[in-house]
Amino acid sequence: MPNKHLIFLVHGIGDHAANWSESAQKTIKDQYATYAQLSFIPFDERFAFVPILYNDEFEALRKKWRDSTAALGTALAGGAAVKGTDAQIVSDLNDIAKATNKDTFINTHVVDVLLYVFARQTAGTVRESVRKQIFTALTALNRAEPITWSIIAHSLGTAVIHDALHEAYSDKPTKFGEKLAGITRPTLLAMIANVSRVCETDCDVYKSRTRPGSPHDPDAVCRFYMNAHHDWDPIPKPKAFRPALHWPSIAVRMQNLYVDAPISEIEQQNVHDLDHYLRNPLVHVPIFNCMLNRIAIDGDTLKTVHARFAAQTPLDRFGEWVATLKKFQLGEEASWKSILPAWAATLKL
Amino acid sequence: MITTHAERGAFALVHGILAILLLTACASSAYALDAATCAAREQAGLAAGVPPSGVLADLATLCYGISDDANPLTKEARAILDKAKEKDKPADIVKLASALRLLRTRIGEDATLYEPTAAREEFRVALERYEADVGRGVPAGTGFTSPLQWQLQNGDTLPTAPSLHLRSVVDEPCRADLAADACKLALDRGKAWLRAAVLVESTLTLYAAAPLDELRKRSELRLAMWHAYRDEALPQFPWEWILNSVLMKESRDKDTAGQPVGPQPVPTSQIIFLHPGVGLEWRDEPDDAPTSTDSNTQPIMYLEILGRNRWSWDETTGKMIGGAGVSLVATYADREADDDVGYGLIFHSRRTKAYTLGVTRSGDTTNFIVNADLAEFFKDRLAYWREAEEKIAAVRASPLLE
Repeated sequence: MPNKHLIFLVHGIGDHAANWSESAQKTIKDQYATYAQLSFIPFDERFAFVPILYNDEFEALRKKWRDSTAALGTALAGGAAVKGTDAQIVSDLNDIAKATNKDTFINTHVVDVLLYVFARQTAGTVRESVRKQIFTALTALNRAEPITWSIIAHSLGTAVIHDALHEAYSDKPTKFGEKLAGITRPTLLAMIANVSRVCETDCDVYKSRTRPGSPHDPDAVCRFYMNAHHDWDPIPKPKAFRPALHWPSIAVRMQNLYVDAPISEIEQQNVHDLDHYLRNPLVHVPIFNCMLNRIAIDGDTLKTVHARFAAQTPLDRFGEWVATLKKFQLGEEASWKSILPAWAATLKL
Repeated sequence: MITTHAERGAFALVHGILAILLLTACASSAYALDAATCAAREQAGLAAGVPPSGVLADLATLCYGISDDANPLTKEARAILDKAKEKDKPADIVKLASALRLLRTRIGEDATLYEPTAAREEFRVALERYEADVGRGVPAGTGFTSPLQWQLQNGDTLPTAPSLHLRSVVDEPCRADLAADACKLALDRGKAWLRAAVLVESTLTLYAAAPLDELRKRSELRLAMWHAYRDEALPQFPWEWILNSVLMKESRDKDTAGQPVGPQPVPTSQIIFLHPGVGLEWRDEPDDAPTSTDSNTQPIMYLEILGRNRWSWDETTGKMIGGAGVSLVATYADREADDDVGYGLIFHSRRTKAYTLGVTRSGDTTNFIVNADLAEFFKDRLAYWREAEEKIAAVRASPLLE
C-alpha cells in the first residue's frame, strides 16, 4: 500500500497534552476542503498527521524537582528531622515544591523557554525526543513505497525543530555510512511564528543546515522553508527570523524554495495562536502548494481568497461598517428628503 | 533516588500512549486507492479544472507504480522488490539492482510510450548509474542512490531527467480536448513516466530502509541515555541543573559553516553543588553530658557543598555504567550538648545510592552519616527505627530490669 504524506505537527510553548494538535488538524483539513484544486483527492487519502510532543520532557523535569523539594520537606517533617528545625523551613520547602506545579503560566510557558535556551541537557533531551518520534514514524511506513513528509512547527517548536533537524542531518553516519539528506527530508518545513533566532543556542540559524535547497544540495534539510509571521504577534518579533536576500543562496531564492509569509489580519485577540495563523490563506495556501510540490493554488486564486478572508475579519468589517455608516451620516440641517432614505437604509443594516 | 519506580512508571505510560498514537497515525498512513478510485479521482480533478499534469502529479505516489497498481511493468518490478525484502536485514542489493535494470530495459523498449526521446536517454543513463551504485552497495543517500532525485519537482520535472517536462508531455496535447485520442495518449505517457519514477524511488527507498532503521535505533538509545541522566544520575536541584548546563563543554566538531556536527553528547559526569538533604548520623559516644538522653543515632540536615559524580555509557544499550562520586559535606545534628557543624566527605555509588555513606568530624568527634532515599526512608524506616528505639528505652526503664 502506498504511503500518505506525513505532516508532523510540532507544538509551541504551553502545557500540551498528547491530543494537543486536534484543533490545528481540523483547521488544516477544513481549509483544504475549501479548494476544488485540492479536494478532488480527499485530504485523508493523501495526508496523515503525526503530532510531536516534547512537553512531556519538560514536565518530567518539573516533576523531578517538585518531588525532590517535597521529599526534603517530608523528610524534615517526617522525622521531626532535626530537633529544633524551624517548622517554617518545612513549610517553605512545601511552598517551593508547590511552586513547580504545572498550572501556572510561569511554569508552563516561561520556564520551558528558559530551560530550552539555557539548560543544554534539557535542550538535548527535547531534541532527541523529537528526532526519535520522527524516525519512529518514518520507519513505520511501508519501506518499499516513496516516503514524503513535511513539518509544521509553531513558536518554541520552531526553535526545537530547527536544532533537532540540524543535528540529525549533520550527524555522523551509522555503520551503513549513509547520508540522511540523500535518503529522506521534509518537503516543507513551515515555521509559524518563528523564534528559532531568538532562541538560538549553539547553532547559528543563518548558517545551519536547516535551510531549503534542491535535491542536489547535499546538506539542505528541506526542500521548502516557510517563515510565517504576523505583524501584531509579539512572540517572534525580538531577533526576528529575517534572513538576508541571499539566504541560503541566490539560486534557492530564484527557485522560490524560501517562502516568506507575512500576515496582518486579526481574527481574534490571540494572534499568536497556531490556528489563527493556519486559517489565513497567505499561510495555508503556500503550505498546501509546498507540500504538493507544485503550484496547485495559483496567485490569482490566492489573491481572491485572501481578500475574502480579510473582508470577514473584525477590523476589515469594522472599516466596511464605518464606510457604510459614513454614507448615511446626516447633517444638522438635513431635510426630510435625505433623512428618510438614510434612516431606512440604516435600519436595514 | 526519590520515587524512582513511580516516576518511571508515569513516564513510561506517557511514552507508551505517545507510541500508540504515533503507531496509530502511521498505521493509517498507508492507504490503497484501487484502480477505480484512481480513475474517479483523475476524472474529478480534470473536471475541477486542474491541469492534467497537476492531476497526475498529485496521484503519482497514490496510484502509479505503487504496490496496488495493476500495470504490467509495476507487477514485474514489484515482484522483484518483494523478493528483495528481507526480514530484519538490509534488502538484497542484487535484486534491487536487477529491478533498476528491468526498468531501464522496459523504458528503452517502448519508444512510443516513453516520449520525449531525450528524457528516455536521460533515464537510461541515470538508471545505469543507479544500478551500478546500488549493486556495489554504495552507502544509501550517497553517490547514485538517492530516492529524492526521483521525486517530481514543481509538478513538472525530475532532477535525474531534466528533459522531461510533465506539463509539456500532458498539458499541451490535452489543452484542446480532454477526450481526444492525443490527450489520452499523453495521459498514458505522463502516467508511464511517473510510474517509472515511483518504481525507482520505491527501489531506492527500500535500499535505504536499513540505515533509516539504524538511525531510529540510535535516536532511541540517545534518548534512553538522556532519560538515564535525568533519572539515574544523582538527583539535581534546579540550580545544579543550570550549573551543570553551564559547565557542559561544547565538544562537537564543527562543519564547514562553523556549526556543531551532530547532537550534543550526553554527559558522563555531574557537579553536586549546594545540595541539601536529610540523613542519619551515628557516633560511638552520643554525648558527653551525663544527663543526656541522646542516642547514638541522630537525624541530621546536611548540605553537599561541592562534589562530582561520574559514570560512563554503554553505547550499544544506552545504559549507564558505573556511577560513583564524592562531595564535601556540612552536617548539623541537634544533640543536647553538641551542636557543632560537622564537615567531611560523602561518597556516592549508583549501586547503593539509596544509602549513600559519609564521614564527618564535628568538634573532636568522628561521625558516620547515611543519606537515606529521602522520602521513602523517612516515611517507612525512620518511623520504624524511632518506634524500635522507644521500645528499647521502655524496656530498659522497666522495673523488671532493675
